[in-house]
Amino acid sequence: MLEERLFTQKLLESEQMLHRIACAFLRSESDRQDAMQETALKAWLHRNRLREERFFKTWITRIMINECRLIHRKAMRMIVTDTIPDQPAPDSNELETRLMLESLPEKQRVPLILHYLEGFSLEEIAQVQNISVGIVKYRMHQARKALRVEWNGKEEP
Amino acid sequence: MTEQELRDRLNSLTEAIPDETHRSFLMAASPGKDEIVMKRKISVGLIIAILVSLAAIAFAATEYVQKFISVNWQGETAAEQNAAIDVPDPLSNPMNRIRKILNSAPDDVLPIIEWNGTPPRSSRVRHRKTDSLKGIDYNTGIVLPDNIAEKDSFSVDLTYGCLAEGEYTLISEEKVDEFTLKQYTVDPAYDVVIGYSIQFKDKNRDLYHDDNQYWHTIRSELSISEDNSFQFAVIDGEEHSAQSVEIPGMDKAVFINLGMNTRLIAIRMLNKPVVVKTKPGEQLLGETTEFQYERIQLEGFTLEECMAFFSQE
Repeated sequence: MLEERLFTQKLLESEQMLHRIACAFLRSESDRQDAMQETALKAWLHRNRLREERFFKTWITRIMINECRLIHRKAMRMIVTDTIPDQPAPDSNELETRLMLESLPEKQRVPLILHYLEGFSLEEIAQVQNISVGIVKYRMHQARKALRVEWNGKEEP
Repeated sequence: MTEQELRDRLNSLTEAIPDETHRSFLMAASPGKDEIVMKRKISVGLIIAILVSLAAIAFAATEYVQKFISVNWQGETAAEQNAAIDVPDPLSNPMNRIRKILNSAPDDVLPIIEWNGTPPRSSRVRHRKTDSLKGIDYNTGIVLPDNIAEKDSFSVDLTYGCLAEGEYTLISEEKVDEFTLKQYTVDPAYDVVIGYSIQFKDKNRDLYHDDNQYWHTIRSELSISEDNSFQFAVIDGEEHSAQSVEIPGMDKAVFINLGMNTRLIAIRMLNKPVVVKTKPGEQLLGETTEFQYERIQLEGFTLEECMAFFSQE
């Protein structure tokens, strides 16, 4: 188990990465904030489950993805009754990318984000998702194929 | 779409970490996070406590409503109904039935009967072989053969509580001139049975021919009916199932198994019997016994139940 000081240091080093992942999965900044806070707390609570320091990155990423998934599910069930505060309209490119990303199944989206956004290796992605490298490759291939179709379809007209 | 294009597009989704998000993350990641964890545990505990309290209140309210409905609609509480259903009948326990018999009307159940050698007039004679036992002398309770006149003599063993021992002469004014009461020999198996046996010889019938001293025995025993009258259950020539038992506080006791007529007769002597001579001209002549006793009669119980009861008492 990591000692507290080292654990905190590792966690703070992961902040940018966690936020980027949160951005890729969640639209609302408040959801991202919740996800990051919950990830930090859960990681602290279950830090004894981390066997080796070198797995910290994939371990904290897995917690983060699970938290994003949880918040996303809650948001699906939630009925908003309050007035939604005005937000600046997103860039059309950003919106298009997000929509394309969200059109992908989660099992394809996760390796894509981790690889192209965070530079995770295939082995690291396999560790995060607890699957084999071959499956990671296959899913990324499927994701790229789907995005290519989507992308070409948008550009052709 | 190249990989670089894809990477650029994904990077476009990311933003700089807002200050608020950064602060909250720092707070969660900093050494003070134990407090946050503790606060969360407390809040979770609080929620559980509230839920448990609400469940308890709901349960209590349900109970109250049920009780209210029971009281107002049916006139009695559900608890009372349950009690009425659940509590078994005390009399289903043979011990309680015996106790009730003994306690409810002790004067009736445990009468002191003065036995003057003649059974009460309410006595009845029960017999199984009515063909040979038609003559009934209600005064003595002794069954007499209907063809008694054809017999030159017969004898009757009076076994009044097995206490009388000696030669007796019984004279029936209507039937025969003389009875010869044979000496009674105490039989340990029946020494508590109040009863009698009749022996008679019939000189006119070859069947009984044995130097004219061929005796036919009719054994009867006394039991006591529910109305405190005496009954003679005749066990004509058959061994009946009777078991002498010892009951604390009682001098004599016998458990008589007569099929459906199973009963326990227990006798407590109030004074020692004395041998008296009845006056000539009375129905029962000769020496007999006079004694008082207290008796308990229990019907419908097994011997084990009776003994279990008295051993408890």
